[in-house]
Amino acid sequence: MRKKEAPRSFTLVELMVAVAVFAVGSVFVLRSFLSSASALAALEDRVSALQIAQSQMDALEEQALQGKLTVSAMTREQAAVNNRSAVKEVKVQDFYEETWQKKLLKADVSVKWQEADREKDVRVSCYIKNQK
Amino acid sequence: MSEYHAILRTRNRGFTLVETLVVAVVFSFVLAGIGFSFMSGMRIWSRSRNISFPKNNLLLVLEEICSELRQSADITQVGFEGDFYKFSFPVLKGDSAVRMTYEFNRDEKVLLKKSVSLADILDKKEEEGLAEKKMASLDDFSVSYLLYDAQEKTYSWENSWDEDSGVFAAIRLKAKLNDEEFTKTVFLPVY
Repeated sequence: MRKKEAPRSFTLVELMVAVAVFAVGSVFVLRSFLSSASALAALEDRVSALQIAQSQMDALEEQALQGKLTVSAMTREQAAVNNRSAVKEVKVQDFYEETWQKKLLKADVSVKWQEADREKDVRVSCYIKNQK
Repeated sequence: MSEYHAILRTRNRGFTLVETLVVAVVFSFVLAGIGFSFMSGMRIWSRSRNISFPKNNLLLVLEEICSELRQSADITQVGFEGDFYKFSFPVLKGDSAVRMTYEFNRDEKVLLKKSVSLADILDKKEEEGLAEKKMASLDDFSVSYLLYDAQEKTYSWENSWDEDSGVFAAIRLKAKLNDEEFTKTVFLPVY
């Protein structure tokens, strides 16, 4: 009786399955996009914090050059990592180098900041000799 | 005849209004979700683009200058020239020596780097050197020199250096970008 199959349109179920497949696919794409964007932001915070720590270490090294670097307990100071508040900690300890039998100072600088409720930090340590 | 029409009607039907509305609602939820997470990703991206790209570029330039200064051999005896906004020193690049000049143009707020090979300087062809814009729209850039006073045995920061002032122990680069200050100090062995 039927001569030809009439051209069919999509059914509702077909269309909803198609939308669901599209949604699942785009979730994967977006998740990788978001994770790489937040990884970039985290990396830039690290670069910024490292710069702060290194310029502090430069200042300590300059003090040592003038023979003014002294042992000190941990001091805390406010700093800013990409416009977010951070804490800079500086500590200088005595250190005796046994192989060369030299009295050195061990300087530790760390910068700590909060990122998405997690504490992040960057540490720079250096053995410095006080010059006369 | 009527049977044929009935088949045609059920097979060739389009959507009803309700079906189309349901699909449109579901699809718009999906699009809203995608658009929302895309926008939040773009916000992070543009934040890092506007704030961190120039800053990272500046940190990279400072790092580059420092590594070139460290490579320069016995720096005070091979024609170092040091001013507050300009300094110049030779660097070995491959087989040939190159004189690097960094200069901060305060009117245009541009840090320029010029490198001229020593062969060109000897041939009096200094203009052959390549000038390169290292950093644009920089708020401030200056150089200080840590001079050693051999008699007093003290160090002090000065804004310029010439051969009469003796050796210097360190060079400090100060840069300002978007109200943020960056300092980088290069310690050089005192000869």
